[in-house]
Amino acid sequence: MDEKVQKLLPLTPTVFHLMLALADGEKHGYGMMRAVEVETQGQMQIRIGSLYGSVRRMMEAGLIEETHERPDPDLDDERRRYYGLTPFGRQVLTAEAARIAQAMAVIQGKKILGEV
Amino acid sequence: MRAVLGFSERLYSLLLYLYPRRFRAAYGQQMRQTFRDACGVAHRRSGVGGVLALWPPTLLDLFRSALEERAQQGEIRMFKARLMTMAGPLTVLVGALWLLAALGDFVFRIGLQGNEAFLGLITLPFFLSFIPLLFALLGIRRHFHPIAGGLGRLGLLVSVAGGAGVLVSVLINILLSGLVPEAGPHLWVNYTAVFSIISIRVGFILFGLDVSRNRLLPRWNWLPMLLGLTVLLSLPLEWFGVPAFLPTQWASPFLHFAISGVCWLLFGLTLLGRGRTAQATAASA
Repeated sequence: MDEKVQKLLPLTPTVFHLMLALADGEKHGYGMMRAVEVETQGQMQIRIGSLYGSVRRMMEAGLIEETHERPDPDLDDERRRYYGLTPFGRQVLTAEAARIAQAMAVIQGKKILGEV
Repeated sequence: MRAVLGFSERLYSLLLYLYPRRFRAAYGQQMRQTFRDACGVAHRRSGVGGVLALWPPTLLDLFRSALEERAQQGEIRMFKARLMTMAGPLTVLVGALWLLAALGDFVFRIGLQGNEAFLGLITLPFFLSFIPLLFALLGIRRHFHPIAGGLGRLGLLVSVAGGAGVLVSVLINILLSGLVPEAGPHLWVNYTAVFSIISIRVGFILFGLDVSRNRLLPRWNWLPMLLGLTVLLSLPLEWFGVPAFLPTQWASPFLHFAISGVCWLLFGLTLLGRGRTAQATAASA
């Protein structure tokens, strides 16, 4: 695996879920917050300060970038900024997902979920 | 309804000043927009209650993340360095304010009895002094933490806690008096303030013991100890009355302000001297 990718793993839960939220398309700030809340079934709620702190760190690490495409420019405020995964970000997300999948295989092998 | 949303947005915009300027310039507008979105959704779902419920977690997160961003940009380190530089001047300022309070008290006692407005002018410099005092104490702690022994460090910590305690008590008192004036005097707040002031002095006695033993100051190594002991010189006069050999009944507050003021002033000057010595040493090295 690419050393640059490896260095970033494991991702923090916040960064992982934000990247997961962006995996199916660009989103603005509130869209990311909502997506994380829905995808974790309310178990994780990212607040605005933490969201933009993470956005700054992810931008600096080259995981995400600002995109200039608008899903529907007529319905949207043009001051809104949208973010999307960079190709490197997608690579990191894939590597993290593989790491979690491997852990999941161990969890299933040891029937940890079955014992709950 | 609109008023609550508008007020929330304005308050949130103000609170964004807690973030470093660079971060605010990059993300402030987006954070405001996201907050507006969140408020809009909360309002549609649960009305004003929904918007109000949004505030506590948002505030907690805002304070935590603003602190993280400032730490990340090295601003906290810079603030600590600035505190060290400012410890001397701030302590001098505290001394000057206490002396001003002493002078006010003196003038009040000799000629202006009964003038309540003037009494306010005496207490104002005294209460105002607790703002620079807290920052001075933080700076003094930064100054001496690396060279003080365990006792000195404990004393400085107790003093800083006392400084924060008295400032918080004064603020709570002002808030409570403003919000529920009919509730009368808030004794527990006053007790907290007195306990905090005594903590500052007790902390200085502990710190003073360490300074005297290890000679941490370039001169007047007895000053921090005396500063702490002024609590013994002055407060009993408040509690048990003024001894017969003192001329009048008003000696106590005047003595308290005057002795403490002189001590803070001299200690501030000593810190200024110490700062200059440290700078000269660093320059020659």
